[in-house]
Amino acid sequence: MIFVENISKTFKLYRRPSDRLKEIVLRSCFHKEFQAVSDVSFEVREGETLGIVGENGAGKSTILKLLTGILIPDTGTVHIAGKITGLLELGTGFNAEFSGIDNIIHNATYLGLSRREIDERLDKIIAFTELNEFIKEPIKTYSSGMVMRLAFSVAIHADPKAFVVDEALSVGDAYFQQKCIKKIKGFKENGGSIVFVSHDMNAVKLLCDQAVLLEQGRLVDKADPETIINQYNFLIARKSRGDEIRYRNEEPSSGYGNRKVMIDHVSLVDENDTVSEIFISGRPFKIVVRLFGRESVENLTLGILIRDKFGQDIYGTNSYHLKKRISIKKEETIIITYAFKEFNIGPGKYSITAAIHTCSTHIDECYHWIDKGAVFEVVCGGGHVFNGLVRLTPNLYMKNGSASFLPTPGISSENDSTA
Amino acid sequence: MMEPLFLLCWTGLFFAGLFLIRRKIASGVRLYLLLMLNLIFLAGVFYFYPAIKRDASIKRGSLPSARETISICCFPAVGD
Amino acid sequence: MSTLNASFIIEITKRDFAERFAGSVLGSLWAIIWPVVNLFIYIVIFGKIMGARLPGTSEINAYGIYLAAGLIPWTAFSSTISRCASAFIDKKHIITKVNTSLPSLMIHINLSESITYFISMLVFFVILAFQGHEFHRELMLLPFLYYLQQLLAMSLGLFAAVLNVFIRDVREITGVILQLWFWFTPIVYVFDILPGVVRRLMAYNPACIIIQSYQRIFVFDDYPPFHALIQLTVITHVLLFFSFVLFRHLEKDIRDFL
Repeated sequence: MIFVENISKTFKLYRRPSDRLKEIVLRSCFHKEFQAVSDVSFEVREGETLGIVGENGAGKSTILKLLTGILIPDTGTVHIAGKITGLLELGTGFNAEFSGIDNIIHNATYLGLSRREIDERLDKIIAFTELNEFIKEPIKTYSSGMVMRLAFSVAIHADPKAFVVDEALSVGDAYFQQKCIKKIKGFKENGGSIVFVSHDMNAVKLLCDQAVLLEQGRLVDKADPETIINQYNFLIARKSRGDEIRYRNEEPSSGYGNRKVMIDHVSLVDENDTVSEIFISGRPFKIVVRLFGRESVENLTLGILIRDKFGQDIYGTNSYHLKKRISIKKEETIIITYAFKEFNIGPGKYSITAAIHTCSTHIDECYHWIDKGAVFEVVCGGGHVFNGLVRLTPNLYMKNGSASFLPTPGISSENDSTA
Repeated sequence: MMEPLFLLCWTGLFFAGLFLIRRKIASGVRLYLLLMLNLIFLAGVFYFYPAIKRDASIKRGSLPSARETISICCFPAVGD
Repeated sequence: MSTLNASFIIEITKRDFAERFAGSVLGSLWAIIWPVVNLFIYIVIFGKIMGARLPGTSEINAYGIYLAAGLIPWTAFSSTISRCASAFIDKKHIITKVNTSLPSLMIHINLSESITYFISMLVFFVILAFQGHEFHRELMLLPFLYYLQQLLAMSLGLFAAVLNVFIRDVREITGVILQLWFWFTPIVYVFDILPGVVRRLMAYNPACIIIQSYQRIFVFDDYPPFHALIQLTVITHVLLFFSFVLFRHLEKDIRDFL
């Protein structure tokens, strides 16, 4: 369990470090203050993951450093039940001249393990890295991904009660990442607390139970990841466009933006041109968006994004990428249709997020952004039965005798499709 | 032959104290207490060693008188 | 702040040695070769070939022994101070990433210097035994003497280390002071050649008290200056206390500045 109560951290900015000593001797002020974290409180219970979201310089890394004890807070208390380690210290004290094993031992010492504990876990750590005979080679012969494996294996086996994850997770190949995520989930199930910092909103949505939004060192809000991420997007949009934007929290679907152009309505239409909420995978599908121009705007971009029930992005694109120019006059209503010939999404519940903005992203100027503009469900029907996120349409072949290559057994067993 | 015995016992006592403080005392005061223990230990070695030795050739071997202490403080006993 | 962790200190000390000799064929054997070479220079070159004599003793190579008895502790003393002085800056990459107890870093330097000292002393003893040197009974005071000396070194080193974070010149200044200090202490020359005024001043040189104790035990067959040692013990602890309080007071700033 991590319990943080009213922590504040001010960095005193001196022109030279020696000014700090001058200050003590002369008892006068030689610094400017920078409030990195002010009055932040939160709590991460056992088995829970907290995401910290915020822009660069919002104080995320400072909070992580305060949690791990690298920095000492000015006021407030950090209480952690047990040991805390983090991925931000991955590979501390690695020396390229030494073998993988030596570096494991050394790194583990830095993470606070005693020699006996290290000896107990060494085999497990080595097995997890899957570096096999490389483990005895000096790590200067390793690729960066291999070093990463080594570092992560030590960090996760250090048996912490709390774990701090930085962006670092994005390094390494997909296979090992999967392995890491599995291990982290296992860690959670065993009652570990995790604090997760990332700019990757999808990762935040997937991994976190709760999230907090930081802005200039202050804790703006604490809620479920979905809400926080929407607020964060709004924050970015507001940063870029000043103050004309309203954001109505009580009615999330009303969206945000400066509303020079508004999204009037989003509707979903099936192959018979009837509005529906349930669609069949693999059949035609249309997203119809009605726009209303409060001012005339040249060259706007309409983007759509399909998200699943976890809020994960499934598919998104916009008119800019589709190379379609859209312009709107004042008091005009236009209708834009995204037509999909085959809507090859797996069964499940989805929502549509629509946004109008300039250029390719909503960062520069956002006119209007709506989350959950429409919700719908996709069901299986017709064609072959499948499961998963996407509907692929494989063909199945069969040959007799000694073919030049043999398909691996097992692939064809589940899909009894027509060839 | 008393001196080695003394040094051994004294060091043993020191370690016992060290162990006790590490076990029983909260970390806030611990370091200062350790410092005190250390001071007593080392000063004790240099104080009691010549006293136990009882060698006439040690110029200031026995317990120093007040007058002596003052004179030492002003002109410490080096180089003679 | 984590408390002192013995296995952490031992591990970084080990690493310290391993790193120093990393990749070399002879490896940690170099830790023995160096003191042998140094002692060879002190005893054979200075003592025998240059034929320097030491007043007040009958042994031929007394000067060599005198030199070694002074230089071995001085080396440990001075390199502890200078390494401590830059410890926070040198280990910056670790301090800013993991929660390390900063005093542990000081202790690890002490430990690693102690190992060097111990090896040197061992070699020295072997050489002395070969020469049929008569060992003085007071040799058993050596560990305590060394302990005192290293405590003093650590208190000064900690003080310098704290300052060094704020004023990087401190590292260089420490080097200069140590160099001057070396020549102001009777290590290569004999105390008796000093003029009376300097001799009086010398009483306030803590290194002199320590080095003299060594020289008396090894060469002059005499007792160390017990009272001066008691005073030094008190002074050392006061310094240690002061340095530590200063460190505690500035620890937050040290971590911020690194």
